[in-house]
Amino acid sequence: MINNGIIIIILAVFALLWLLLMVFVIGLYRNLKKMTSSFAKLGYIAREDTKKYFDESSDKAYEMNKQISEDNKKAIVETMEQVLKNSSVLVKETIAEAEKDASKIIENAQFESANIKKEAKEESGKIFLRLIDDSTQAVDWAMEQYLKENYSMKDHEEIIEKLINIYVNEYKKS
Amino acid sequence: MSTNTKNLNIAFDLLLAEARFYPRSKIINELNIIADRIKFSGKLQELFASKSVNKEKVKIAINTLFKDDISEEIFGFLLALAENDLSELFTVDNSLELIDYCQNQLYKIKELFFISPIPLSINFREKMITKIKSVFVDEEIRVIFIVKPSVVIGFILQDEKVLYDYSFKTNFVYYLNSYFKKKLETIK
Repeated sequence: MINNGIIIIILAVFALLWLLLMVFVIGLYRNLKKMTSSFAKLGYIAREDTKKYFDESSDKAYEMNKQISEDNKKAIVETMEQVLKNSSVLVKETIAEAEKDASKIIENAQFESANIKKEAKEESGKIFLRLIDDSTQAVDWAMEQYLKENYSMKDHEEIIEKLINIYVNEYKKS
Repeated sequence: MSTNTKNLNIAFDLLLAEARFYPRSKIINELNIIADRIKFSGKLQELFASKSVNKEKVKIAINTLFKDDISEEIFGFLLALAENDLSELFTVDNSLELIDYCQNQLYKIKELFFISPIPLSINFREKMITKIKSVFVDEEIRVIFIVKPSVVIGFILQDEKVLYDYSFKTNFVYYLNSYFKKKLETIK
C-alpha cells in the first residue's frame, strides 16, 4: 500500500514537472517565433527601403541599405543584451541561436541589396537605352500630333480655339 | 465739337473699320506716303480739296494713283473718305493734322499681335478677338493677325511687353517632356 502511495506521489511530481516544462517550452517557442518574425520584418524593411531608393541612384540605395542594416543590427544587439540580462543560461543559448538566424537574415538582406545595386545599374542602362529608342518614337508621336500632312484649316482652328481657352483661363482677371 | 474735329473723328472711325487688323506703324507710314504724293501735285490738291467735284472722279484718281502702292486696308480707307466727302483731309492744310490725330488715337489703343501658322477666317478672327478682350477688359485693344508658318500649330500672342506663346515650336519640348515622364512611369 505504502509502495503504491510513493509511486503515485512520484508520478504526480513527474507529471507536475512535465507540465511546468511544457509550459516553459511553449512560452519559449512563442517568444522565439515572435523574434524570428521581427527579424524577418527587419530584413523585409531593409529590402523595401532599398527598393524605395532604387530610382534615385544605385549607389545611394546601396549606401542607404547598408546604413539601415547597420541600424537594424544595432537595434537587434541592444534587444539581445536586454533579453540576456533577464535570462537563464538555457535561454541565453537559445537566444544565441536566434541571433545567428537574425544575422543570417541581415546577411541575406545585405546580399540582396548588393544584388539590387547590381540590378539597378543594369536596369539604369536598360532604361537609358529604352529612352533613346523612345525618343525617336516621341518625335514621331509629336510630329504625328502636330504635323499631319492633311491638317485642314478646321483642324488648325480647333487647336487654336482650345489653346486660346487655356490662355483666357490663365490670364483672365478674376 | 468743331467741324474739323468731327471730320477727324469720322475719318478715324473709317480708318479703324477699314484697317481693323492692320498694324498702326504701317498705317501711319502709308498715310504719310499718301500725304506726300498729294502734296507734290497741284492737280491732286485741287481735286481732293474741291467740294464740287464728283466723288467718283476722286475714287478713280485714288485708284490710279494708289491701287498697287499701298495696302488694301489703306486703299479702302481712302475710298471710304471719298465716299464720305472727306478727301479734303488729305490736302496740304489738313493732312498733317489728320495723321497726327490718327497716330495719337492709335497709340491710345493697346495693340496685340496674334501670330498663327495659317491665315484665319474673318469669323474665326472675330471669335479670337472676343476671347482676348475677355482678358483685357479694362483696355481698348486692337488685334493684328500675322501669319508665320514657323509657328506650325497653335498661336503666339504678343503685346508691347509680354509674349504668350502657345505654339508648337515652343511647346514641342514640353510635350516631349510629358511624353518621357509618362514613359518612365510605365518602365518603373
